[in-house]
Amino acid sequence: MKNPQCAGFGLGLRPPHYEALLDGPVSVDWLEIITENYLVAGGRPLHSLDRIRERYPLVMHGVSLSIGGTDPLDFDYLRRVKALAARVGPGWISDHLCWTGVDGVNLHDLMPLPYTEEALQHVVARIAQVQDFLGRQILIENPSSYVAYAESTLSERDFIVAMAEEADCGILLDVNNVYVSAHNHGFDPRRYLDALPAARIRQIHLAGHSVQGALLVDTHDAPVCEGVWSLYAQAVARFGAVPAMIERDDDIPPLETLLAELDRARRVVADLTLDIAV
Amino acid sequence: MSLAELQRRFAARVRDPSRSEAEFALGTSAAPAAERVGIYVHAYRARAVEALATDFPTLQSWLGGERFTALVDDYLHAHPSHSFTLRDLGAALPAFLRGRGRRTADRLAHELAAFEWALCHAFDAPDVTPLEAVALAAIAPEDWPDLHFTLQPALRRLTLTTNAVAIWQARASGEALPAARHVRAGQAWVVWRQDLRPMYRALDAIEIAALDTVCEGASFGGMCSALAARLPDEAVPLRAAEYLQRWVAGGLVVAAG
Repeated sequence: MKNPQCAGFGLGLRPPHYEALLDGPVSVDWLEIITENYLVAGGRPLHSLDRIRERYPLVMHGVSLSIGGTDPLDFDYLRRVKALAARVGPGWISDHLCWTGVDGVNLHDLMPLPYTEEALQHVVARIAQVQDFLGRQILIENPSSYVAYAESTLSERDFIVAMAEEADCGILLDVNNVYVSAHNHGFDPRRYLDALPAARIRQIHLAGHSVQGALLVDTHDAPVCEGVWSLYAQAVARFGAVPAMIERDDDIPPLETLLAELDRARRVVADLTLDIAV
Repeated sequence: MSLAELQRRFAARVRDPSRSEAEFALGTSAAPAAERVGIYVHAYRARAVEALATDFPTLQSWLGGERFTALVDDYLHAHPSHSFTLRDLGAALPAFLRGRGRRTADRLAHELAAFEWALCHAFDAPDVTPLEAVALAAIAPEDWPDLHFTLQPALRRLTLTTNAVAIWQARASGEALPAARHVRAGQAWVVWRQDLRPMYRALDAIEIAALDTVCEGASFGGMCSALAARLPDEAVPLRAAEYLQRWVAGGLVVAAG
Protein backbone atom coordinates (compact mmCIF):
# COMPACT_ATOMS: atom_id res chain seq x y z
CA MET A 1 0.00 0.00 0.00
CA LYS A 2 2.88 2.38 0.71
CA ASN A 3 3.57 4.26 -2.49
CA PRO A 4 7.03 5.81 -2.79
CA GLN A 5 5.80 7.91 -5.73
CA CYS A 6 3.43 9.85 -3.49
CA ALA A 7 5.67 10.43 -0.48
CA GLY A 8 6.22 13.95 0.81
CA PHE A 9 3.95 16.96 0.44
CA GLY A 10 1.03 17.48 -1.91
CA LEU A 11 -1.81 19.80 -2.82
CA GLY A 12 -5.38 19.36 -3.93
CA LEU A 13 -5.45 19.91 -7.72
CA ARG A 14 -7.81 22.79 -8.58
CA PRO A 15 -8.45 24.20 -12.11
CA PRO A 16 -7.18 27.76 -11.30
CA HIS A 17 -3.71 26.24 -10.77
CA TYR A 18 -3.52 24.07 -13.93
CA GLU A 19 -1.47 26.60 -15.85
CA ALA A 20 1.05 27.32 -13.07
CA LEU A 21 1.49 23.58 -12.44
CA LEU A 22 2.10 22.89 -16.12
CA ASP A 23 4.44 25.86 -16.53
CA GLY A 24 6.42 24.55 -13.52
CA PRO A 25 8.73 23.52 -12.03
CA VAL A 26 6.60 23.58 -8.90
CA SER A 27 7.77 22.39 -5.51
CA VAL A 28 5.00 19.87 -4.86
CA ASP A 29 5.59 16.12 -4.65
CA TRP A 30 2.13 14.91 -5.70
CA LEU A 31 -1.41 16.12 -6.32
CA GLU A 32 -4.78 14.91 -5.12
CA ILE A 33 -7.67 15.07 -7.59
CA ILE A 34 -11.36 15.19 -6.74
CA THR A 35 -12.38 11.96 -8.47
CA GLU A 36 -15.83 13.14 -9.58
CA ASN A 37 -14.41 16.16 -11.45
CA TYR A 38 -12.85 13.76 -13.96
CA LEU A 39 -15.65 11.21 -14.26
CA VAL A 40 -16.72 12.90 -17.48
CA ALA A 41 -16.75 11.63 -21.04
CA GLY A 42 -13.98 13.85 -22.46
CA GLY A 43 -12.98 17.42 -23.25
CA ARG A 44 -10.75 19.80 -21.35
CA PRO A 45 -10.94 18.26 -17.84
CA LEU A 46 -9.46 14.93 -18.95
CA HIS A 47 -7.11 16.60 -21.42
CA SER A 48 -5.66 18.76 -18.63
CA LEU A 49 -5.52 15.80 -16.26
CA ASP A 50 -3.51 13.73 -18.74
CA ARG A 51 -0.96 16.55 -19.09
CA ILE A 52 -0.69 17.04 -15.35
CA ARG A 53 -0.32 13.28 -14.89
CA GLU A 54 2.78 13.38 -17.09
CA ARG A 55 4.47 15.68 -14.55
CA TYR A 56 3.06 14.81 -11.12
CA PRO A 57 2.06 11.63 -9.30
CA LEU A 58 -1.66 11.67 -8.46
CA VAL A 59 -3.95 10.28 -5.79
CA MET A 60 -7.75 10.09 -6.13
CA HIS A 61 -10.14 11.50 -3.52
CA GLY A 62 -13.87 10.88 -3.98
CA VAL A 63 -16.98 12.40 -2.43
CA SER A 64 -19.71 10.13 -3.80
CA LEU A 65 -18.97 6.63 -2.48
CA SER A 66 -21.55 6.98 0.34
CA ILE A 67 -19.87 4.18 2.24
CA GLY A 68 -22.34 4.63 5.11
CA GLY A 69 -25.39 4.97 2.85
CA THR A 70 -28.24 2.47 3.06
CA ASP A 71 -28.99 2.48 -0.68
CA PRO A 72 -27.07 -0.25 -2.53
CA LEU A 73 -23.50 0.65 -3.53
CA ASP A 74 -23.47 2.42 -6.91
CA PHE A 75 -21.48 0.04 -9.09
CA ASP A 76 -21.91 2.24 -12.14
CA TYR A 77 -20.05 4.93 -10.21
CA LEU A 78 -17.45 2.41 -9.02
CA ARG A 79 -16.88 1.19 -12.59
CA ARG A 80 -16.10 4.76 -13.60
CA VAL A 81 -13.78 5.21 -10.62
CA LYS A 82 -11.96 2.04 -11.60
CA ALA A 83 -11.63 3.21 -15.21
CA LEU A 84 -10.26 6.59 -14.10
CA ALA A 85 -7.79 4.81 -11.81
CA ALA A 86 -6.63 2.75 -14.79
CA ARG A 87 -6.08 6.00 -16.70
CA VAL A 88 -4.17 7.97 -14.03
CA GLY A 89 -2.54 5.21 -11.94
CA PRO A 90 -3.18 6.86 -8.56
CA GLY A 91 -0.98 6.20 -5.52
CA TRP A 92 -4.22 5.38 -3.69
CA ILE A 93 -7.97 6.03 -3.71
CA SER A 94 -9.87 7.59 -0.81
CA ASP A 95 -13.36 8.71 0.21
CA HIS A 96 -15.14 9.77 3.41
CA LEU A 97 -16.80 8.13 6.39
CA CYS A 98 -20.31 9.42 5.69
CA TRP A 99 -23.50 8.87 3.74
CA THR A 100 -24.43 11.17 0.85
CA GLY A 101 -28.07 10.39 0.15
CA VAL A 102 -30.95 7.98 0.59
CA ASP A 103 -33.78 6.51 -1.51
CA GLY A 104 -31.97 7.44 -4.71
CA VAL A 105 -31.67 11.16 -3.90
CA ASN A 106 -28.13 12.53 -3.60
CA LEU A 107 -27.69 15.39 -1.12
CA HIS A 108 -24.11 15.95 -2.38
CA ASP A 109 -22.89 16.43 1.18
CA LEU A 110 -20.85 14.37 3.64
CA MET A 111 -23.65 13.46 6.06
CA PRO A 112 -22.70 12.17 9.52
CA LEU A 113 -23.27 8.58 10.60
CA PRO A 114 -24.47 7.46 14.01
CA TYR A 115 -21.62 5.53 15.63
CA THR A 116 -23.48 2.30 16.35
CA GLU A 117 -22.64 -1.38 16.01
CA GLU A 118 -25.19 -1.56 13.16
CA ALA A 119 -23.48 1.27 11.26
CA LEU A 120 -20.04 -0.21 11.92
CA GLN A 121 -20.97 -3.62 10.48
CA HIS A 122 -22.71 -1.94 7.56
CA VAL A 123 -19.67 0.23 6.72
CA VAL A 124 -17.18 -2.62 7.20
CA ALA A 125 -19.12 -4.86 4.80
CA ARG A 126 -19.35 -2.13 2.18
CA ILE A 127 -15.65 -1.24 2.37
CA ALA A 128 -14.90 -4.92 1.77
CA GLN A 129 -17.17 -4.89 -1.31
CA VAL A 130 -15.52 -1.74 -2.66
CA GLN A 131 -12.00 -3.05 -2.06
CA ASP A 132 -12.90 -6.33 -3.77
CA PHE A 133 -14.36 -4.49 -6.75
CA LEU A 134 -11.48 -2.04 -7.14
CA GLY A 135 -8.93 -4.75 -6.43
CA ARG A 136 -7.09 -2.54 -3.96
CA GLN A 137 -7.21 -1.22 -0.43
CA ILE A 138 -8.91 2.17 -0.04
CA LEU A 139 -8.47 4.96 2.50
CA ILE A 140 -11.41 6.31 4.49
CA GLU A 141 -11.29 9.86 5.84
CA ASN A 142 -12.55 10.93 9.27
CA PRO A 143 -15.34 13.51 8.77
CA SER A 144 -16.06 17.00 10.02
CA SER A 145 -19.49 16.83 11.62
CA TYR A 146 -21.96 19.18 13.25
CA VAL A 147 -24.56 16.70 14.47
CA ALA A 148 -24.37 13.83 16.97
CA TYR A 149 -27.05 11.23 17.59
CA ALA A 150 -28.64 9.71 20.69
CA GLU A 151 -28.27 6.33 18.93
CA SER A 152 -24.46 6.46 19.01
CA THR A 153 -22.89 3.96 21.39
CA LEU A 154 -19.29 4.39 20.19
CA SER A 155 -17.09 7.47 19.94
CA GLU A 156 -16.05 8.51 16.44
CA ARG A 157 -12.50 7.54 17.35
CA ASP A 158 -13.43 4.02 18.45
CA PHE A 159 -15.67 3.62 15.39
CA ILE A 160 -12.85 4.53 13.02
CA VAL A 161 -10.31 2.31 14.76
CA ALA A 162 -12.70 -0.67 14.63
CA MET A 163 -13.69 0.10 11.03
CA ALA A 164 -10.09 0.22 9.80
CA GLU A 165 -9.13 -2.99 11.58
CA GLU A 166 -12.23 -4.99 10.62
CA ALA A 167 -12.42 -3.76 7.02
CA ASP A 168 -8.63 -3.78 6.61
CA CYS A 169 -8.61 -0.34 5.01
CA GLY A 170 -6.29 2.64 5.38
CA ILE A 171 -7.13 5.92 7.10
CA LEU A 172 -6.89 9.34 5.54
CA LEU A 173 -6.42 11.46 8.65
CA ASP A 174 -7.89 14.94 8.18
CA VAL A 175 -6.33 16.90 11.03
CA ASN A 176 -8.66 19.85 10.47
CA ASN A 177 -11.66 17.53 10.67
CA VAL A 178 -10.43 16.17 14.00
CA TYR A 179 -10.04 19.76 15.23
CA VAL A 180 -13.49 20.84 13.94
CA SER A 181 -15.37 17.78 15.22
CA ALA A 182 -13.56 17.90 18.58
CA HIS A 183 -14.74 21.48 19.00
CA ASN A 184 -18.29 20.77 17.82
CA HIS A 185 -18.75 17.65 19.96
CA GLY A 186 -16.52 18.45 22.91
CA PHE A 187 -13.93 15.67 22.69
CA ASP A 188 -10.16 15.91 23.14
CA PRO A 189 -8.46 15.95 19.70
CA ARG A 190 -5.11 14.80 21.17
CA ARG A 191 -6.61 11.71 22.73
CA TYR A 192 -8.35 11.05 19.40
CA LEU A 193 -4.98 11.01 17.60
CA ASP A 194 -3.42 8.86 20.34
CA ALA A 195 -5.99 6.13 19.74
CA LEU A 196 -5.48 5.78 15.99
CA PRO A 197 -3.43 2.85 14.67
CA ALA A 198 -0.24 4.39 13.22
CA ALA A 199 0.24 1.70 10.57
CA ARG A 200 -3.11 2.55 8.94
CA ILE A 201 -2.56 6.31 8.58
CA ARG A 202 -1.58 6.64 4.90
CA GLN A 203 -2.35 10.27 4.14
CA ILE A 204 -2.96 13.51 6.03
CA HIS A 205 -5.20 16.42 5.06
CA LEU A 206 -4.68 19.95 6.34
CA ALA A 207 -7.27 22.66 5.70
CA GLY A 208 -8.91 25.79 7.00
CA HIS A 209 -12.36 26.16 8.53
CA SER A 210 -14.73 28.95 9.53
CA VAL A 211 -16.53 29.88 12.73
CA GLN A 212 -20.35 29.93 12.62
CA GLY A 213 -21.78 30.82 16.00
CA ALA A 214 -20.69 28.21 18.52
CA LEU A 215 -19.70 25.75 15.78
CA LEU A 216 -16.73 25.32 13.48
CA VAL A 217 -17.53 24.51 9.85
CA ASP A 218 -15.17 22.71 7.47
CA THR A 219 -15.28 25.27 4.65
CA HIS A 220 -11.77 24.87 3.12
CA ASP A 221 -11.80 28.61 2.44
CA ALA A 222 -9.03 29.84 4.73
CA PRO A 223 -5.42 29.12 5.69
CA VAL A 224 -4.71 26.30 8.17
CA CYS A 225 -5.13 27.72 11.71
CA GLU A 226 -2.57 27.56 14.54
CA GLY A 227 -4.55 24.95 16.47
CA VAL A 228 -4.51 22.63 13.45
CA TRP A 229 -0.76 23.16 12.92
CA SER A 230 -0.17 22.22 16.53
CA LEU A 231 -2.33 19.11 16.17
CA TYR A 232 -0.46 18.26 12.95
CA ALA A 233 2.84 18.38 14.86
CA GLN A 234 1.39 15.87 17.29
CA ALA A 235 0.24 13.67 14.40
CA VAL A 236 3.72 13.76 12.82
CA ALA A 237 5.33 12.90 16.17
CA ARG A 238 3.05 9.90 16.45
CA PHE A 239 2.62 8.71 12.85
CA GLY A 240 5.84 9.96 11.22
CA ALA A 241 6.18 11.78 7.91
CA VAL A 242 2.95 10.49 6.38
CA PRO A 243 2.20 12.05 2.92
CA ALA A 244 0.45 15.30 3.79
CA MET A 245 -1.35 17.96 1.76
CA ILE A 246 -3.39 21.14 1.96
CA GLU A 247 -6.97 21.23 0.73
CA ARG A 248 -8.40 24.51 -0.48
CA ASP A 249 -11.79 24.65 -2.24
CA ASP A 250 -13.03 28.19 -1.86
CA ASP A 251 -11.45 31.64 -2.00
CA ILE A 252 -8.58 29.84 -3.75
CA PRO A 253 -5.33 31.88 -3.56
CA PRO A 254 -2.49 31.83 -6.12
CA LEU A 255 -0.45 28.63 -6.16
CA GLU A 256 2.56 30.33 -4.50
CA THR A 257 0.46 31.11 -1.42
CA LEU A 258 -0.48 27.46 -1.00
CA LEU A 259 3.11 26.36 -1.67
CA ALA A 260 4.27 28.69 1.12
CA GLU A 261 1.68 27.12 3.42
CA LEU A 262 2.89 23.69 2.37
CA ASP A 263 6.44 24.72 3.30
CA ARG A 264 5.21 25.17 6.84
CA ALA A 265 4.11 21.51 6.84
CA ARG A 266 7.61 20.60 5.62
CA ARG A 267 9.12 22.60 8.49
CA VAL A 268 6.91 20.85 11.05
CA VAL A 269 8.26 17.51 9.85
CA ALA A 270 11.87 18.78 9.55
CA ASP A 271 11.80 20.27 13.07
CA LEU A 272 10.49 17.07 14.60
CA THR A 273 13.02 14.96 12.71
CA LEU A 274 15.75 17.29 13.98
CA ASP A 275 14.47 16.95 17.55
CA ILE A 276 14.63 13.19 17.30
CA ALA A 277 18.15 13.32 15.81
CA VAL A 278 19.37 15.59 18.62
CA MET B 1 -34.23 4.01 14.95
CA SER B 2 -32.61 2.02 12.13
CA LEU B 3 -29.79 3.53 10.12
CA ALA B 4 -32.02 3.81 7.05
CA GLU B 5 -34.84 5.47 8.97
CA LEU B 6 -32.47 7.99 10.51
CA GLN B 7 -31.07 8.84 7.08
CA ARG B 8 -34.60 9.24 5.66
CA ARG B 9 -35.59 11.65 8.41
CA PHE B 10 -32.41 13.67 8.10
CA ALA B 11 -32.65 13.82 4.29
CA ALA B 12 -36.32 14.88 4.43
CA ARG B 13 -35.37 17.69 6.80
CA VAL B 14 -32.48 18.82 4.59
CA ARG B 15 -34.64 18.84 1.48
CA ASP B 16 -37.51 20.77 3.07
CA PRO B 17 -36.27 23.86 4.92
CA SER B 18 -39.87 24.70 5.96
CA ARG B 19 -39.76 21.74 8.36
CA SER B 20 -38.34 22.49 11.75
CA GLU B 21 -37.96 19.09 13.42
CA ALA B 22 -34.46 17.98 14.41
CA GLU B 23 -35.41 15.38 17.01
CA PHE B 24 -33.04 12.84 15.42
CA ALA B 25 -30.04 15.02 16.41
CA LEU B 26 -28.53 15.89 19.77
CA GLY B 27 -28.00 19.54 20.68
CA THR B 28 -26.01 21.31 23.34
CA SER B 29 -26.78 24.52 25.20
CA ALA B 30 -24.20 26.35 23.07
CA ALA B 31 -25.49 24.90 19.80
CA PRO B 32 -29.03 23.49 19.81
CA ALA B 33 -29.91 20.59 17.49
CA ALA B 34 -31.81 22.85 15.06
CA GLU B 35 -28.72 25.04 14.57
CA ARG B 36 -26.53 21.97 13.95
CA VAL B 37 -28.98 20.45 11.46
CA GLY B 38 -29.32 23.90 9.90
CA ILE B 39 -25.71 23.72 8.69
CA TYR B 40 -26.61 20.75 6.49
CA VAL B 41 -29.85 22.40 5.34
CA HIS B 42 -27.97 25.51 4.31
CA ALA B 43 -25.13 23.57 2.66
CA TYR B 44 -27.57 21.54 0.51
CA ARG B 45 -29.11 24.64 -0.99
CA ALA B 46 -25.85 26.63 -1.22
CA ARG B 47 -24.09 23.80 -3.03
CA ALA B 48 -26.89 23.49 -5.59
CA VAL B 49 -26.98 27.25 -6.17
CA GLU B 50 -23.20 27.29 -6.67
CA ALA B 51 -23.22 24.31 -9.05
CA LEU B 52 -26.07 25.70 -11.15
CA ALA B 53 -24.61 29.23 -11.16
CA THR B 54 -21.40 27.73 -12.58
CA ASP B 55 -23.30 25.99 -15.38
CA PHE B 56 -25.87 28.77 -15.99
CA PRO B 57 -24.01 32.04 -15.27
CA THR B 58 -26.01 34.12 -17.74
CA LEU B 59 -29.33 32.82 -16.47
CA GLN B 60 -28.23 33.83 -12.97
CA SER B 61 -27.15 37.31 -14.14
CA TRP B 62 -30.37 37.74 -16.08
CA LEU B 63 -32.66 36.70 -13.23
CA GLY B 64 -30.59 38.27 -10.45
CA GLY B 65 -29.30 36.42 -7.39
CA GLU B 66 -32.55 36.32 -5.44
CA ARG B 67 -34.77 35.07 -8.27
CA PHE B 68 -32.11 32.57 -9.31
CA THR B 69 -31.93 31.16 -5.78
CA ALA B 70 -35.74 30.93 -5.65
CA LEU B 71 -35.66 29.13 -9.01
CA VAL B 72 -33.04 26.67 -7.68
CA ASP B 73 -35.28 25.95 -4.66
CA ASP B 74 -38.27 25.19 -6.89
CA TYR B 75 -36.13 23.16 -9.27
CA LEU B 76 -34.48 21.08 -6.53
CA HIS B 77 -37.89 20.32 -5.10
CA ALA B 78 -39.13 19.09 -8.48
CA HIS B 79 -35.84 17.51 -9.64
CA PRO B 80 -33.66 16.39 -6.73
CA SER B 81 -30.30 14.96 -7.79
CA HIS B 82 -30.28 11.28 -8.74
CA SER B 83 -26.70 11.37 -10.03
CA PHE B 84 -23.42 10.78 -8.25
CA THR B 85 -22.15 14.05 -9.68
CA LEU B 86 -23.26 17.69 -9.47
CA ARG B 87 -22.22 17.88 -13.13
CA ASP B 88 -25.64 16.44 -14.02
CA LEU B 89 -27.71 18.62 -11.69
CA GLY B 90 -28.79 21.10 -14.36
CA ALA B 91 -29.82 18.53 -16.97
CA ALA B 92 -33.55 19.05 -16.45
CA LEU B 93 -33.44 22.81 -15.87
CA PRO B 94 -34.11 23.89 -19.49
CA ALA B 95 -37.20 21.66 -19.66
CA PHE B 96 -38.28 22.77 -16.18
CA LEU B 97 -38.19 26.40 -17.33
CA ARG B 98 -40.05 25.70 -20.57
CA GLY B 99 -43.36 25.29 -18.83
CA ARG B 100 -43.10 28.30 -16.53
CA GLY B 101 -44.80 31.00 -18.60
CA ARG B 102 -45.51 32.38 -22.06
CA ARG B 103 -44.13 35.89 -21.75
CA THR B 104 -40.97 36.81 -23.70
CA ALA B 105 -39.02 36.96 -20.41
CA ASP B 106 -40.15 33.41 -19.53
CA ARG B 107 -39.13 32.11 -22.94
CA LEU B 108 -35.83 33.92 -22.64
CA ALA B 109 -35.06 32.21 -19.30
CA HIS B 110 -35.81 28.82 -20.88
CA GLU B 111 -33.68 29.56 -23.96
CA LEU B 112 -30.75 30.91 -21.95
CA ALA B 113 -30.81 27.71 -19.91
CA ALA B 114 -31.01 25.57 -23.06
CA PHE B 115 -28.09 27.43 -24.68
CA GLU B 116 -25.89 27.32 -21.56
CA TRP B 117 -26.65 23.63 -21.03
CA ALA B 118 -25.67 22.91 -24.65
CA LEU B 119 -22.34 24.65 -23.96
CA CYS B 120 -21.86 22.56 -20.79
CA HIS B 121 -22.57 19.41 -22.78
CA ALA B 122 -20.05 20.45 -25.45
CA PHE B 123 -17.40 21.14 -22.80
CA ASP B 124 -16.98 17.52 -21.64
CA ALA B 125 -18.74 15.41 -24.28
CA PRO B 126 -16.79 12.34 -25.52
CA ASP B 127 -13.53 12.96 -27.38
CA VAL B 128 -13.54 12.20 -31.11
CA THR B 129 -11.11 12.75 -33.95
CA PRO B 130 -12.55 15.09 -36.59
CA LEU B 131 -12.63 13.94 -40.20
CA GLU B 132 -9.95 15.65 -42.30
CA ALA B 133 -10.88 17.37 -45.53
CA VAL B 134 -8.44 15.17 -47.49
CA ALA B 135 -10.55 12.12 -46.58
CA LEU B 136 -13.44 13.56 -48.60
CA ALA B 137 -11.21 14.06 -51.64
CA ALA B 138 -10.51 10.31 -51.68
CA ILE B 139 -14.20 9.37 -52.04
CA ALA B 140 -15.14 8.19 -55.56
CA PRO B 141 -17.84 10.33 -57.28
CA GLU B 142 -20.21 7.35 -57.61
CA ASP B 143 -20.08 6.77 -53.84
CA TRP B 144 -21.26 10.26 -52.90
CA PRO B 145 -25.06 9.81 -53.13
CA ASP B 146 -25.02 7.00 -50.55
CA LEU B 147 -22.42 8.57 -48.30
CA HIS B 148 -23.48 8.87 -44.63
CA PHE B 149 -21.87 11.12 -42.06
CA THR B 150 -21.25 10.73 -38.34
CA LEU B 151 -21.27 14.03 -36.50
CA GLN B 152 -19.47 14.74 -33.23
CA PRO B 153 -21.36 13.79 -30.03
CA ALA B 154 -20.99 17.31 -28.59
CA LEU B 155 -23.17 18.76 -31.35
CA ARG B 156 -26.53 20.26 -30.36
CA ARG B 157 -29.05 22.13 -32.52
CA LEU B 158 -31.25 24.83 -31.00
CA THR B 159 -33.93 27.07 -32.46
CA LEU B 160 -34.27 30.16 -30.32
CA THR B 161 -37.14 32.65 -30.48
CA THR B 162 -35.51 35.27 -28.26
CA ASN B 163 -32.23 37.19 -28.19
CA ALA B 164 -30.79 34.73 -25.62
CA VAL B 165 -27.45 34.45 -27.42
CA ALA B 166 -27.02 38.25 -27.60
CA ILE B 167 -27.61 38.37 -23.85
CA TRP B 168 -25.12 35.51 -23.32
CA GLN B 169 -22.55 37.40 -25.42
CA ALA B 170 -23.13 40.65 -23.53
CA ARG B 171 -22.45 38.93 -20.20
CA ALA B 172 -19.40 37.12 -21.58
CA SER B 173 -17.87 40.44 -22.67
CA GLY B 174 -18.84 42.26 -19.48
CA GLU B 175 -21.41 44.54 -21.10
CA ALA B 176 -24.84 45.56 -19.78
CA LEU B 177 -27.44 42.92 -20.64
CA PRO B 178 -29.88 44.01 -23.36
CA ALA B 179 -33.63 43.75 -22.82
CA ALA B 180 -35.40 40.49 -23.70
CA ARG B 181 -36.61 40.51 -27.27
CA HIS B 182 -38.70 38.17 -29.37
CA VAL B 183 -37.15 36.93 -32.63
CA ARG B 184 -40.03 36.48 -35.02
CA ALA B 185 -39.09 33.48 -37.14
CA GLY B 186 -36.84 31.65 -34.70
CA GLN B 187 -33.08 31.51 -35.23
CA ALA B 188 -31.25 28.20 -35.59
CA TRP B 189 -27.98 27.72 -33.70
CA VAL B 190 -25.51 24.91 -33.58
CA VAL B 191 -23.28 24.27 -30.54
CA TRP B 192 -20.25 21.95 -30.74
CA ARG B 193 -16.66 21.59 -29.58
CA GLN B 194 -13.49 22.39 -31.49
CA ASP B 195 -9.95 22.12 -30.08
CA LEU B 196 -11.37 21.64 -26.56
CA ARG B 197 -13.47 24.83 -26.79
CA PRO B 198 -17.26 24.94 -26.89
CA MET B 199 -18.29 26.81 -30.06
CA TYR B 200 -21.57 28.14 -31.42
CA ARG B 201 -22.76 29.57 -34.71
CA ALA B 202 -26.02 30.85 -36.21
CA LEU B 203 -27.30 28.91 -39.22
CA ASP B 204 -29.69 30.17 -41.89
CA ALA B 205 -32.86 28.25 -42.67
CA ILE B 206 -31.33 26.34 -45.58
CA GLU B 207 -28.18 25.23 -43.76
CA ILE B 208 -30.11 24.05 -40.69
CA ALA B 209 -32.47 22.09 -42.98
CA ALA B 210 -29.43 20.39 -44.50
CA LEU B 211 -27.82 19.72 -41.11
CA ASP B 212 -31.11 18.38 -39.73
CA THR B 213 -31.32 15.78 -42.50
CA VAL B 214 -27.75 14.63 -41.84
CA CYS B 215 -28.36 14.48 -38.07
CA GLU B 216 -31.43 12.37 -38.76
CA GLY B 217 -29.32 9.88 -40.70
CA ALA B 218 -29.88 10.94 -44.32
CA SER B 219 -27.17 10.30 -46.90
CA PHE B 220 -25.46 13.02 -48.92
CA GLY B 221 -28.06 12.30 -51.63
CA GLY B 222 -30.86 12.74 -49.08
CA MET B 223 -29.37 16.04 -47.99
CA CYS B 224 -29.27 17.19 -51.63
CA SER B 225 -32.98 16.29 -52.00
CA ALA B 226 -33.77 18.41 -48.94
CA LEU B 227 -31.83 21.28 -50.48
CA ALA B 228 -33.63 20.83 -53.81
CA ALA B 229 -36.89 21.70 -52.06
CA ARG B 230 -35.40 25.10 -51.18
CA LEU B 231 -32.98 25.94 -54.01
CA PRO B 232 -32.93 25.86 -57.84
CA ASP B 233 -31.66 22.41 -58.94
CA GLU B 234 -28.50 23.80 -60.48
CA ALA B 235 -27.50 25.46 -57.17
CA VAL B 236 -27.84 22.29 -55.07
CA PRO B 237 -24.50 20.47 -55.65
CA LEU B 238 -22.39 23.57 -55.00
CA ARG B 239 -24.35 24.52 -51.87
CA ALA B 240 -24.20 20.95 -50.50
CA ALA B 241 -20.43 20.90 -51.03
CA GLU B 242 -20.08 24.29 -49.33
CA TYR B 243 -21.96 23.18 -46.24
CA LEU B 244 -20.03 19.96 -45.99
CA GLN B 245 -16.70 21.77 -46.29
CA ARG B 246 -17.77 24.21 -43.58
CA TRP B 247 -18.83 21.39 -41.25
CA VAL B 248 -15.62 19.48 -41.85
CA ALA B 249 -13.48 22.60 -41.30
CA GLY B 250 -15.33 23.20 -38.00
CA GLY B 251 -14.66 19.64 -36.85
CA LEU B 252 -18.35 18.71 -36.76
CA VAL B 253 -17.91 15.61 -38.94
CA VAL B 254 -16.05 12.63 -37.51
CA ALA B 255 -16.69 9.97 -40.16
CA ALA B 256 -18.01 9.50 -43.69
CA GLY B 257 -18.87 6.11 -45.12
